[in-house]
Amino acid sequence: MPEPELQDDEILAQALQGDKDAFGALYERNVARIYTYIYYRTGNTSDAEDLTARVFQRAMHHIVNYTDRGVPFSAWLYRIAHNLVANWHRDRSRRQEIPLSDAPLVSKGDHPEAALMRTQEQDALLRIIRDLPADRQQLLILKFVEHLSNAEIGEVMGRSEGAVKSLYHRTLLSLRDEVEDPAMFS
Amino acid sequence: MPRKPLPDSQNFDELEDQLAATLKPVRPERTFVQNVRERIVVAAPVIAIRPARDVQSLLVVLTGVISAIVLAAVGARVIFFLRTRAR
Repeated sequence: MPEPELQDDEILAQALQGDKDAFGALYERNVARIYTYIYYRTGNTSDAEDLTARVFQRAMHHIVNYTDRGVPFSAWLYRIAHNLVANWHRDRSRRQEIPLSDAPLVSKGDHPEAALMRTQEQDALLRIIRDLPADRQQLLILKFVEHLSNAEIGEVMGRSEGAVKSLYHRTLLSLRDEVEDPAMFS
Repeated sequence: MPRKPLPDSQNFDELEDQLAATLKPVRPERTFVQNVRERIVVAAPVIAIRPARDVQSLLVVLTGVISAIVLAAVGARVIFFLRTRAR
Protein backbone atom coordinates (compact mmCIF):
# COMPACT_ATOMS: atom_id res chain seq x y z
CA MET A 1 0.00 0.00 0.00
CA PRO A 2 1.53 3.38 -0.97
CA GLU A 3 2.36 5.82 1.80
CA PRO A 4 -0.12 8.70 2.09
CA GLU A 5 1.26 11.91 0.62
CA LEU A 6 2.45 14.36 3.26
CA GLN A 7 0.72 17.70 3.55
CA ASP A 8 2.63 20.91 2.78
CA ASP A 9 2.78 21.96 6.43
CA GLU A 10 4.20 18.57 7.50
CA ILE A 11 6.91 18.77 4.84
CA LEU A 12 7.56 22.37 5.78
CA ALA A 13 8.01 21.40 9.44
CA GLN A 14 10.62 18.82 8.39
CA ALA A 15 12.34 21.33 6.10
CA LEU A 16 12.51 23.82 8.97
CA GLN A 17 14.42 21.18 10.97
CA GLY A 18 17.06 21.15 8.21
CA ASP A 19 15.77 18.13 6.31
CA LYS A 20 16.99 18.68 2.77
CA ASP A 21 14.84 15.98 1.23
CA ALA A 22 11.81 17.74 2.69
CA PHE A 23 12.98 21.00 1.14
CA GLY A 24 13.46 19.09 -2.11
CA ALA A 25 9.84 17.98 -1.91
CA LEU A 26 8.70 21.57 -1.33
CA TYR A 27 10.79 22.57 -4.32
CA GLU A 28 9.13 19.92 -6.52
CA ARG A 29 5.69 21.13 -5.49
CA ASN A 30 6.39 24.80 -6.14
CA VAL A 31 8.96 25.01 -8.92
CA ALA A 32 6.49 25.11 -11.83
CA ARG A 33 4.40 27.95 -10.40
CA ILE A 34 7.44 30.06 -9.50
CA TYR A 35 8.96 29.40 -12.92
CA THR A 36 5.69 30.41 -14.65
CA TYR A 37 5.48 33.59 -12.59
CA ILE A 38 9.06 34.58 -13.42
CA TYR A 39 8.68 33.59 -17.06
CA TYR A 40 5.77 36.00 -17.52
CA ARG A 41 7.62 38.74 -15.64
CA THR A 42 10.86 38.39 -17.61
CA GLY A 43 9.63 37.13 -20.97
CA ASN A 44 12.33 34.56 -21.62
CA THR A 45 13.18 31.07 -20.50
CA SER A 46 16.87 31.53 -19.71
CA ASP A 47 16.29 34.34 -17.21
CA ALA A 48 13.25 32.47 -15.87
CA GLU A 49 15.44 29.41 -15.20
CA ASP A 50 18.25 31.45 -13.67
CA LEU A 51 15.94 33.42 -11.37
CA THR A 52 13.88 30.36 -10.43
CA ALA A 53 17.05 28.57 -9.32
CA ARG A 54 18.03 31.64 -7.30
CA VAL A 55 14.61 31.83 -5.64
CA PHE A 56 14.97 28.29 -4.28
CA GLN A 57 18.61 28.74 -3.30
CA ARG A 58 17.70 31.87 -1.39
CA ALA A 59 14.69 30.14 0.17
CA MET A 60 16.88 27.25 1.31
CA HIS A 61 19.43 29.55 2.90
CA HIS A 62 16.80 31.64 4.65
CA ILE A 63 14.36 28.93 5.63
CA VAL A 64 15.71 29.09 9.20
CA ASN A 65 14.24 32.59 9.37
CA TYR A 66 10.86 31.49 8.01
CA THR A 67 7.99 31.92 10.42
CA ASP A 68 4.64 30.30 9.75
CA ARG A 69 1.99 33.01 9.96
CA GLY A 70 -0.74 30.88 8.45
CA VAL A 71 0.16 32.09 4.96
CA PRO A 72 0.94 29.38 2.36
CA PHE A 73 4.63 28.64 1.87
CA SER A 74 4.20 29.53 -1.81
CA ALA A 75 3.35 33.11 -0.78
CA TRP A 76 6.83 33.40 0.77
CA LEU A 77 8.39 32.01 -2.42
CA TYR A 78 6.40 34.46 -4.56
CA ARG A 79 7.72 37.33 -2.46
CA ILE A 80 11.31 36.18 -2.97
CA ALA A 81 10.61 35.80 -6.69
CA HIS A 82 9.03 39.26 -6.85
CA ASN A 83 12.10 40.84 -5.21
CA LEU A 84 14.54 39.03 -7.48
CA VAL A 85 12.55 39.99 -10.58
CA ALA A 86 12.49 43.62 -9.40
CA ASN A 87 16.30 43.54 -9.03
CA TRP A 88 16.57 41.94 -12.45
CA HIS A 89 14.49 44.72 -14.04
CA ARG A 90 16.54 47.36 -12.23
CA ASP A 91 19.84 45.86 -13.42
CA ARG A 92 18.47 45.60 -16.93
CA SER A 93 17.37 49.23 -17.04
CA ARG A 94 20.78 50.30 -15.74
CA ARG A 95 22.39 48.44 -18.59
CA GLN A 96 19.94 50.19 -20.94
CA GLU A 97 19.04 47.07 -22.83
CA ILE A 98 16.05 46.80 -25.16
CA PRO A 99 12.87 47.10 -23.10
CA LEU A 100 10.72 43.97 -22.97
CA SER A 101 7.89 45.72 -24.73
CA ASP A 102 10.12 46.33 -27.78
CA ALA A 103 11.68 42.91 -27.79
CA PRO A 104 10.23 40.37 -30.19
CA LEU A 105 7.79 38.17 -28.31
CA VAL A 106 8.75 35.01 -30.16
CA SER A 107 12.44 35.17 -29.49
CA LYS A 108 15.16 32.65 -28.78
CA GLY A 109 14.28 32.77 -25.12
CA ASP A 110 10.53 32.54 -25.52
CA HIS A 111 8.83 29.45 -24.19
CA PRO A 112 8.22 27.36 -27.33
CA GLU A 113 5.08 25.74 -25.95
CA ALA A 114 3.58 29.11 -25.00
CA ALA A 115 4.71 30.88 -28.18
CA LEU A 116 3.17 28.28 -30.48
CA MET A 117 -0.19 28.48 -28.78
CA ARG A 118 -0.49 32.27 -28.90
CA THR A 119 -2.35 34.26 -31.52
CA GLN A 120 -1.33 37.73 -32.68
CA GLU A 121 -3.97 39.28 -30.42
CA GLN A 122 -2.62 37.40 -27.44
CA ASP A 123 0.91 38.51 -28.29
CA ALA A 124 -0.30 42.10 -28.37
CA LEU A 125 -2.10 41.68 -25.07
CA LEU A 126 1.01 40.16 -23.52
CA ARG A 127 3.02 43.13 -24.73
CA ILE A 128 0.57 45.49 -23.04
CA ILE A 129 0.65 43.43 -19.83
CA ARG A 130 4.45 43.64 -19.75
CA ASP A 131 4.20 47.42 -19.93
CA LEU A 132 2.05 47.54 -16.80
CA PRO A 133 3.52 48.45 -13.39
CA ALA A 134 5.04 45.46 -11.57
CA ASP A 135 2.25 45.11 -9.00
CA ARG A 136 -0.41 44.94 -11.72
CA GLN A 137 1.55 42.32 -13.67
CA GLN A 138 1.95 40.31 -10.48
CA LEU A 139 -1.77 40.53 -9.79
CA LEU A 140 -2.76 39.36 -13.29
CA ILE A 141 -0.31 36.45 -13.24
CA LEU A 142 -1.46 35.27 -9.81
CA LYS A 143 -5.11 35.56 -10.83
CA PHE A 144 -5.07 34.09 -14.31
CA VAL A 145 -2.14 31.68 -14.21
CA GLU A 146 -2.33 30.54 -10.61
CA HIS A 147 -6.08 31.07 -10.23
CA LEU A 148 -5.59 32.52 -6.74
CA SER A 149 -8.45 34.31 -5.01
CA ASN A 150 -8.20 38.00 -4.11
CA ALA A 151 -7.55 37.01 -0.47
CA GLU A 152 -4.68 34.70 -1.45
CA ILE A 153 -3.23 37.33 -3.78
CA GLY A 154 -3.43 39.77 -0.88
CA GLU A 155 -1.33 37.37 1.23
CA VAL A 156 1.34 37.23 -1.47
CA MET A 157 1.34 40.97 -2.15
CA GLY A 158 0.96 42.06 1.47
CA ARG A 159 -2.31 43.90 0.77
CA SER A 160 -5.87 43.56 1.97
CA GLU A 161 -8.45 41.68 -0.09
CA GLY A 162 -10.25 44.97 -0.77
CA ALA A 163 -7.05 46.64 -1.97
CA VAL A 164 -6.42 43.73 -4.37
CA LYS A 165 -9.98 43.95 -5.69
CA SER A 166 -9.60 47.67 -6.25
CA LEU A 167 -6.22 47.27 -7.95
CA TYR A 168 -7.67 44.55 -10.18
CA HIS A 169 -10.54 46.78 -11.24
CA ARG A 170 -8.19 49.66 -12.07
CA THR A 171 -5.93 47.29 -13.96
CA LEU A 172 -8.79 46.00 -16.10
CA LEU A 173 -9.95 49.53 -16.83
CA SER A 174 -6.51 50.63 -18.01
CA LEU A 175 -6.00 47.39 -19.94
CA ARG A 176 -9.30 47.76 -21.72
CA ASP A 177 -8.45 51.33 -22.73
CA GLU A 178 -5.25 50.07 -24.29
CA VAL A 179 -6.86 47.06 -25.93
CA GLU A 180 -9.51 49.29 -27.49
CA ASP A 181 -6.83 51.64 -28.80
CA PRO A 182 -6.02 50.31 -32.31
CA ALA A 183 -2.60 51.97 -32.24
CA MET A 184 -1.63 50.05 -29.12
CA PHE A 185 -3.38 46.77 -29.80
CA SER A 186 -1.72 45.72 -33.02
CA MET B 1 -35.84 36.86 -13.82
CA PRO B 2 -32.85 37.38 -16.16
CA ARG B 3 -29.81 39.03 -14.63
CA LYS B 4 -29.46 42.68 -15.54
CA PRO B 5 -26.27 43.15 -17.59
CA LEU B 6 -23.60 45.32 -16.05
CA PRO B 7 -22.97 48.73 -17.60
CA ASP B 8 -20.23 48.73 -20.24
CA SER B 9 -17.78 50.42 -17.91
CA GLN B 10 -18.07 47.48 -15.48
CA ASN B 11 -18.30 44.56 -17.89
CA PHE B 12 -14.90 42.98 -18.32
CA ASP B 13 -15.99 39.50 -19.40
CA GLU B 14 -14.42 39.67 -22.84
CA LEU B 15 -11.18 41.10 -21.54
CA GLU B 16 -11.03 38.50 -18.77
CA ASP B 17 -11.55 35.75 -21.36
CA GLN B 18 -8.68 37.17 -23.40
CA LEU B 19 -6.47 37.31 -20.30
CA ALA B 20 -7.33 33.73 -19.38
CA ALA B 21 -6.47 32.59 -22.90
CA THR B 22 -3.18 34.53 -22.92
CA LEU B 23 -1.82 33.81 -19.47
CA LYS B 24 -1.38 30.03 -19.35
CA PRO B 25 0.93 28.04 -17.08
CA VAL B 26 4.24 27.03 -18.64
CA ARG B 27 6.35 24.10 -17.49
CA PRO B 28 10.08 24.29 -16.95
CA GLU B 29 12.35 21.73 -18.66
CA ARG B 30 12.62 18.48 -16.71
CA THR B 31 16.43 18.57 -16.87
CA PHE B 32 16.44 22.07 -15.38
CA VAL B 33 14.15 20.98 -12.54
CA GLN B 34 16.39 17.97 -11.80
CA ASN B 35 19.63 19.99 -11.94
CA VAL B 36 18.37 22.60 -9.50
CA ARG B 37 17.01 19.93 -7.17
CA GLU B 38 20.39 18.20 -7.13
CA ARG B 39 22.12 21.51 -6.41
CA ILE B 40 19.75 22.15 -3.52
CA VAL B 41 19.96 18.69 -1.97
CA VAL B 42 23.72 18.29 -2.44
CA ALA B 43 24.56 21.87 -1.42
CA ALA B 44 26.53 22.66 1.75
CA PRO B 45 24.61 22.30 5.01
CA VAL B 46 22.51 25.25 6.00
CA ILE B 47 24.13 27.27 8.76
CA ALA B 48 22.22 30.06 10.33
CA ILE B 49 24.52 33.04 10.64
CA ARG B 50 22.98 35.79 12.65
CA PRO B 51 24.44 39.21 11.86
CA ALA B 52 26.35 40.65 14.82
CA ARG B 53 24.70 43.61 16.44
CA ASP B 54 26.12 46.98 15.52
CA VAL B 55 27.24 47.73 19.10
CA GLN B 56 29.05 44.40 19.35
CA SER B 57 30.81 44.96 16.05
CA LEU B 58 31.84 48.47 17.11
CA LEU B 59 33.25 47.17 20.42
CA VAL B 60 35.32 44.53 18.63
CA VAL B 61 36.71 47.10 16.19
CA LEU B 62 37.45 49.59 18.99
CA THR B 63 39.21 46.92 21.06
CA GLY B 64 41.34 46.02 18.06
CA VAL B 65 42.27 49.64 17.34
CA ILE B 66 43.13 50.41 20.99
CA SER B 67 45.23 47.23 21.27
CA ALA B 68 47.14 48.20 18.12
CA ILE B 69 47.80 51.73 19.48
CA VAL B 70 49.01 50.37 22.84
CA LEU B 71 51.31 47.87 21.11
CA ALA B 72 52.74 50.59 18.85
CA ALA B 73 53.32 52.89 21.86
CA VAL B 74 55.07 50.14 23.86
CA GLY B 75 57.22 49.26 20.84
CA ALA B 76 58.19 52.91 20.28
CA ARG B 77 59.05 53.32 23.97
CA VAL B 78 61.25 50.20 23.94
CA ILE B 79 63.13 51.46 20.85
CA PHE B 80 63.53 54.93 22.43
CA PHE B 81 64.76 53.37 25.71
CA LEU B 82 67.29 51.14 23.94
CA ARG B 83 68.65 54.04 21.86
CA THR B 84 69.07 56.41 24.84
CA ARG B 85 70.71 53.61 26.83
CA ALA B 86 73.20 52.88 24.03
CA ARG B 87 74.38 56.50 24.14
